[in-house]
Amino acid sequence: MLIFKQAIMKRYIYTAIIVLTCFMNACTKLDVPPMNIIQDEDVFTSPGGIQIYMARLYSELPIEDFRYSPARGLNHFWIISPFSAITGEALSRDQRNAMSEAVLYWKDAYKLIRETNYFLETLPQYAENFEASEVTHWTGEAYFIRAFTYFSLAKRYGGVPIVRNVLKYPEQDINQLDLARASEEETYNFIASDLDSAIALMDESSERGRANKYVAAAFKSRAMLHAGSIAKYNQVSLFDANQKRLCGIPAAKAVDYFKLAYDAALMTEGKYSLYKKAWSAGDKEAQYKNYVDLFFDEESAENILIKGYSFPQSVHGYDAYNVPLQAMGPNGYSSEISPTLDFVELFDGFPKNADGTLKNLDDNGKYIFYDNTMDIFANAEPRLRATVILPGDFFKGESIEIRRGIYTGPVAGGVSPLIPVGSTIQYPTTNIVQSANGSQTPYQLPNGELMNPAGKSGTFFSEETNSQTGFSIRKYLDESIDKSQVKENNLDQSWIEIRYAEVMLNRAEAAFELYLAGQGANYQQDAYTQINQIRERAGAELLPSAGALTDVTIIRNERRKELGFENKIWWDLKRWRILDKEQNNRLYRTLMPFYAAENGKYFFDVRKDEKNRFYTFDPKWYYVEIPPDEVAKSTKLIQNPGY
Amino acid sequence: MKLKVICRLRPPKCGWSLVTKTCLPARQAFLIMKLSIVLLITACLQVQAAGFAQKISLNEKNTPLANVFKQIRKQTGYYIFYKDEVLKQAGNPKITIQVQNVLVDEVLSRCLSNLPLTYSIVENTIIVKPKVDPPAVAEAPAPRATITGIIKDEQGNPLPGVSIRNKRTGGGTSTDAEGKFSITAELNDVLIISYVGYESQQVTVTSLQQQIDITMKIAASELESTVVVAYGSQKRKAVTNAVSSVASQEIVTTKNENVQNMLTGKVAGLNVVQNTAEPGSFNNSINIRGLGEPLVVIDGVPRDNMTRIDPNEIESVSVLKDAAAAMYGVRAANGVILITTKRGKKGTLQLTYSGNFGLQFPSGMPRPLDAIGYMTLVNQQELHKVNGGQITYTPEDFEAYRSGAKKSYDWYNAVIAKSFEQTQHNLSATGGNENTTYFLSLGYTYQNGMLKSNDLNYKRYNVRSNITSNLNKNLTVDLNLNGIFDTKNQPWEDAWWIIRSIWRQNPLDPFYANEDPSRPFQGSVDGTNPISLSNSDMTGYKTYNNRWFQSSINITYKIPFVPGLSARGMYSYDYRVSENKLFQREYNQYTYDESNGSFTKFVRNSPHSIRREYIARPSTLGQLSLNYEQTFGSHHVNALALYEESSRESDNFYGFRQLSLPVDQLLAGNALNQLTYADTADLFKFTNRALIGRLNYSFQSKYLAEISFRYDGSSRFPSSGRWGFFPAASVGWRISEENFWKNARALAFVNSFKVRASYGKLGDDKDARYQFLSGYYYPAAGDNNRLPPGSVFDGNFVNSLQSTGIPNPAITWYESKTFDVGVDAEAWNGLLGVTVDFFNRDRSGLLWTRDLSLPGVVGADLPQENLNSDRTQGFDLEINHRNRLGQFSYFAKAIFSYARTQIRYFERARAGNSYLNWYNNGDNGYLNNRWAGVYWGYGDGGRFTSFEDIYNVKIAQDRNWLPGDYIMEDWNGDGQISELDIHPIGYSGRPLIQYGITLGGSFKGFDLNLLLQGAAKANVAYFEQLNTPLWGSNRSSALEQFMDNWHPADPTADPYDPNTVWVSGRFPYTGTVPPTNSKVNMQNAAYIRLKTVELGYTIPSTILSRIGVKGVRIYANGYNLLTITKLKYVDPEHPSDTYGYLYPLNKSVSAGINVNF
Repeated sequence: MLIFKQAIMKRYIYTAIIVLTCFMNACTKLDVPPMNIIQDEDVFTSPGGIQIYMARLYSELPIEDFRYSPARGLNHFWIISPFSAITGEALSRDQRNAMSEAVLYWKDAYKLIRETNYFLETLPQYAENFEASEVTHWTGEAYFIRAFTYFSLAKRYGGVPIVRNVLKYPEQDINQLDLARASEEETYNFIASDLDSAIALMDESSERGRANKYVAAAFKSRAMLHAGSIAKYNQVSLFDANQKRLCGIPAAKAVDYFKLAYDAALMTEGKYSLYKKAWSAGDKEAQYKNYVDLFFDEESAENILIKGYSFPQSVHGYDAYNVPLQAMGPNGYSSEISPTLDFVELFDGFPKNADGTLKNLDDNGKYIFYDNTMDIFANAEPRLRATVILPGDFFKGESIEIRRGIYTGPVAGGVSPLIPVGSTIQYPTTNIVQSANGSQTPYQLPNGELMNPAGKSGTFFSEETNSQTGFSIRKYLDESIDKSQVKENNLDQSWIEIRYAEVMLNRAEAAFELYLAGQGANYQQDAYTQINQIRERAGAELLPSAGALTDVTIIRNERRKELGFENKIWWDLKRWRILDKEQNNRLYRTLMPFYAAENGKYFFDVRKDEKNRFYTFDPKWYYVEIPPDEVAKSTKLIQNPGY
Repeated sequence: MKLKVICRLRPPKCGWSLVTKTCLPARQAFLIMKLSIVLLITACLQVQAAGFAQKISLNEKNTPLANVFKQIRKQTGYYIFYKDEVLKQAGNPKITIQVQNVLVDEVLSRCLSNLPLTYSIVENTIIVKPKVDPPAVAEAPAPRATITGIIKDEQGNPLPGVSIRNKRTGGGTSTDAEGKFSITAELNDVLIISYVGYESQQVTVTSLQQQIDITMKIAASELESTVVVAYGSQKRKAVTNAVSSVASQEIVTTKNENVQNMLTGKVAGLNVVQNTAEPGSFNNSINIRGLGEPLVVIDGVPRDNMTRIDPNEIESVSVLKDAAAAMYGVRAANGVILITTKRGKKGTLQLTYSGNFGLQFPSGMPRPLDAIGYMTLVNQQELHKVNGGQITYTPEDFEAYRSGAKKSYDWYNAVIAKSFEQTQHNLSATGGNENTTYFLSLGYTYQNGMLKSNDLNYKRYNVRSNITSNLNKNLTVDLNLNGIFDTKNQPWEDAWWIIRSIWRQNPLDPFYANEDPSRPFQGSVDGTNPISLSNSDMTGYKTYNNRWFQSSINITYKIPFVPGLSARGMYSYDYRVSENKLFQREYNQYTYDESNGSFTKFVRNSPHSIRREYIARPSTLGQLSLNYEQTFGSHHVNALALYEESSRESDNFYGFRQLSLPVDQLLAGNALNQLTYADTADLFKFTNRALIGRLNYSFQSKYLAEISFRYDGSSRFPSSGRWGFFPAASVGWRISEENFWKNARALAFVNSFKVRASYGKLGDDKDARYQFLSGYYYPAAGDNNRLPPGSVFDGNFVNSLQSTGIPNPAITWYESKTFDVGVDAEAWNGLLGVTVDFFNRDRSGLLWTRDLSLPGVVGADLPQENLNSDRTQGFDLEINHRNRLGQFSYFAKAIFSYARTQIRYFERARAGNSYLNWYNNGDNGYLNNRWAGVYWGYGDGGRFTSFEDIYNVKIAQDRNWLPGDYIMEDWNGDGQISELDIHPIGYSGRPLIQYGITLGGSFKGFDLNLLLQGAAKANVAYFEQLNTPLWGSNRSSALEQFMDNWHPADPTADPYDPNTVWVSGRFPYTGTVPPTNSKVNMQNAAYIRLKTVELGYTIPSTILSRIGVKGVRIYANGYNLLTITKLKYVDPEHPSDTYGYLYPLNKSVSAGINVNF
């Protein structure tokens, strides 16, 4: 009995031991690496690995696209204060005055530069995994990305520290990592040399969204034109202790840079062409449609470098923020960008006064009447219609109704200006019915019909989510998107970062500057050819002859029209160093359509911005403030003047 | 072997050996346990409490014995065990018996008297066996009888509810309102009499006719009570560490869905802030002594379900506040909360039901304005333009709303219910015999949210089975199983977004376009309509399901031949699954154009889409330990050695599809844009291994010492530095045990006085990422709102990689050194108990990146390094008082805690000058030797009451200023207001002080419990709509409070006209908004509130015994009913997170019942 009990006891103990030690057999190991970390040998051994590396570099590439705003920086979903609202191209409800970029692009740039340098240093170690030509192309691509990044630093800060290799920390002491700025000239030369490497190493074609030889060349024309403009027009100097010029380039170098820009542009000739798929000579409607389509055709021969989007991983909300009020999507955004009359007046095709301003008054100083708001723009340049929605023009099959109010006073003998010309006061309330916001109380017209005082897309005197200027933005708005899908973070049309029209304008400007610098009349001729090609496609009036190209302003204005709202003009106005003169306590002008109840016709009041948004550009903004925390922790980094 | 059992299912026990003569083999016993786990939950809840009467009547003639047994079973409910062959061997006897109301005992002995059979009764089980059995059971059964008695206190008052338990049988009862009881006992049985707050007594039954009258003495102290500590438990008097604990009955006085809120104000040093009462969100901030998120250990296993545990399952909660937590090593730097669940009690089945039903109300939920208010503020804002303004709404507009010609829409009441229900039910069963005890619990919780649509709600089921079985006298097995199933339902939009929308919604906007109920109005603010948003039928829904399965088995073996030595093994396997379904439904809203009578349709949430999420988190923990406890004369030793391994894993995947039809299933989707992916944040495996030791020593129970260590290894660190050593030591001196104390008459009133001190080192690996590795994260982090996770090449999205940055091979956990000194005292025989602790915690090696000092041109994300250090100091205090005055007994408990953190070292870049150095770094509250949790901003310089004031102000003038505007304090006196005037103005973060006062008392059958709870030294500052009327757009409404503002008496008067007459108010004229970081925008969030009030009544057992119920208590309870605070408009605990839009806290009233069967 006792023996039996002991046997049972043993079984207990054995069972207990088994249970207690079962987890010991599986002995928990402490070497458990995280599951989402991969190594160089996973990446640099297949083209797929290189592609995901490149996907990172391109995602960080400082392209100022739909998701850029000077107030929010790069890759931001919620765009307020878009670039066009500080260049004078447009007014925006979120922008009250002039400003410089609020988000300082610096750390992210050097992060991308490091990743590019790391790629350049690591790829050769794994070269045996690839064709030699692949390695060469990718190396060139990395040089392009590095140059692109340095240019976005140089155009902001002037000379910046140049990092050519991966900086090692903690192997190197912090003091060794504290780098001084290169001169502005050295910086541009470094960009030029990287681009030259890129042009030399890369293939002639690439996946859409990535660079090739001609992308690098096209970009070089942009960067060198910028450098040439700085050399010629910049007045600011900043020297370090060794008399190295951190801000500014000797004027004598201007010609060299313009020449580099011109030659680079020339390289792309024949590789790209202006988009004219739907274009037809003399057919304004076709030219209009062609210009609209230009921004949506992925196969366009004009596209040089695009930044693609794809729902749902990578999206933007351009249409949602910018459609006119009556085309508003379900989440309630609209009309972030209202183009100014000043911008519209750059174009042709509507009555103008001698000074080039829109003519809204007859010779007696009374308003000119029109049957509808589009009548005044009946002959407008097709490019203007494709860039800006004019009051009453069609978008998504609907006439975009922009009306400031109903004039109920007498029309017999004409109507004099409602407020003195040039005044900033509010419209009087006598004889004018207007709406504070979108919930409108209809006004009964003499014929008994009801009419809302303001149009479906504005303009209201209080609410600002509607046209503020009489115009609404048109460029890049996709008519094919259903209204229910016009939402933020829901849109994926591509952004065209470099298109051939820009390269032609770079070439024309560089050529004309070379001509002005006495480099030969053939440059003037070439500039003329480029400009007229662009004008022809735009449906604009052509220049009669090369000789008519007398002033660089003609080329600059062509650029402002062609590249308007493409986030390029800010940098142009800055490199021309004219922004401080353009924006000197300036109020931009608007075009306010009124409906006269008595005769059922429209008239237009031209006035200064009702919301009194004064723009004054501080010249110190030509050079952006280097992030103060970077200056604070460095003994070598010299801050730009004025900060 | 054929075993016949006349019974329903019953708990397993090795006691079956009485039938078979041999114990079941252990293997089989395990099997039975395993089976029973499944059966118990259902079965034991089915076992009826029927027929415990011991008396029966029989009238049988020549009836087979087996049939007589059936009769007995029928009348008594007793189970009768016998083997067929036993009856056969006895000759299948037939019985003739005629008895009336006779004890079972007697019936059985009569039946079997002439047979070779005998029987025994264990609890409610009768075992019949041959008489030739071993002599031990061959004895005639001892005589038994029903013993009665009465129990009184020292004043001679009867004590109701006193527990009387028969030590041998485990059977028990309790006294009725007159203090009377009756219990069945045999001669020489020992009765254990116990009552909370009184000393337990044991009485031996010396005569069956005995009337037992007992006087209970108030327990001199709680020193003898046991406290759960790390890896074991200790007598309160022997504790040398700062450990606070709270028992179940004290916890459940507060009624809430979250146990954390039930602990608020009850444990000194445990700080709980409830951020929201949103059903299913469980958004609390909890810390011990202000130290950060503590480790929560439930039944010996670190677990994540503290918020979801059923309070009725909790036996006690202990809080390890000092170095005692070092036993938990690398995860314990912020202290440890130990939760112990209930275990079975020997005795017949005790069923307890508790349930309550309550109504909730929002606590501090501001309302938006009506049309008149809205138009008033809009006009104010429009006129508030120094260059001349123009009113938007004319007097005719106002008149239209005043006269009722136009309707103002009340969005708050359209969406938010006045009250919303909440209910909890729990049924638990406990019982068992000498060998096996069980505790089973089934709980249900439901909480509705404040939406009128009833689409926001929370539901939870808790199931628990805790079984303890002594396999033999040395071997004990504990098996704990716990299941939690919860579901949160909500509309597609989150509650905070709906609240934001209600507040912003324009009161001029109709609910429906042109009042057509089939056409919800497309609101003028972002197109939202709160009625649509709050309705799942419109917008779709989100359902969050969590399933916890938690199990542990614990085997303790008392090693024979070495008294005091035992071995223990524990293994736990937990599995948590989160399974969510997010269905976005397309719906339409409309606007109406009066001029042409047309509707415009807006299709929202288009297209329909569905997202399913599945996250699984298994975790395991295994322990092997040896424990040795022995007393050698005056020396008492307790030693523990323990080895532990654990792993925690998480895996997940998500699926997303767009749908053509509103069919909320993944299978109904389209090929376009379908997506499957995994979230790297929920993809991990962490492991730990540890060796733990502890030695307790006490001499004459007077000098106490404890040393412990943990050698802990964590997989989150490189192999070179993953092991850490965490020692701790503590000492205690019970001065009151010294002779000089005992002999000092002046000190006689102090029963116990102990001083103690502890010091130890702890760690925390929680925040450490794998920064010792170099390589790339793949895919890269990225989102729609910022940098995307890849690029689009040739029209296809390509995921990218992301550099992990520079590795730090030396990274390790931060270390925390905790010192605590405390006093425990008791005086006047328990009338007063005081515990005071002062503590200091120094942390070093806090993770921080050096990027502030490393030049940006390096261009890499630096790894975190062990750079920073801080110090937290404070004290906590607990005072207890309990007494009895006649029939009125009461207790009071007060707790108070204060803690504050100081930055000792903070890695940062130097600034250009001393002010910037002070200010730039201070902005984040980070500066060496500076207090943490400082709120920086502008001081309050008063406000302008007239244009006179504005003209006379000493600082640079602004032509926009108006009477009523705030003046920011010119703190540096330079004559202008700039950011140089920013300085510390208040506290940010958790309150520095928290306190609570619990008062409880009972009189006859009534009991009352109050908890006053409060916090101080806290500020809150709100943004967006709580700061700015008409926030965001002038179509947005404002909160009602902003009507109390400075404004011209004539609403159309030009405010800039110096002759305008002003009316003063709390807020400035609309359009003036104080900086969010200013004293005028900051409010004092100190408060004291009646957290809990509960009034209960226990129905006398004399009434209940007739209906077969042992005890019934009914009660009414209130939660957060009264709050005293200077903070206006919102609840003082309501955080400014999520822009102040979080679902509000709630007040609730409930009624409930507890029934013991």
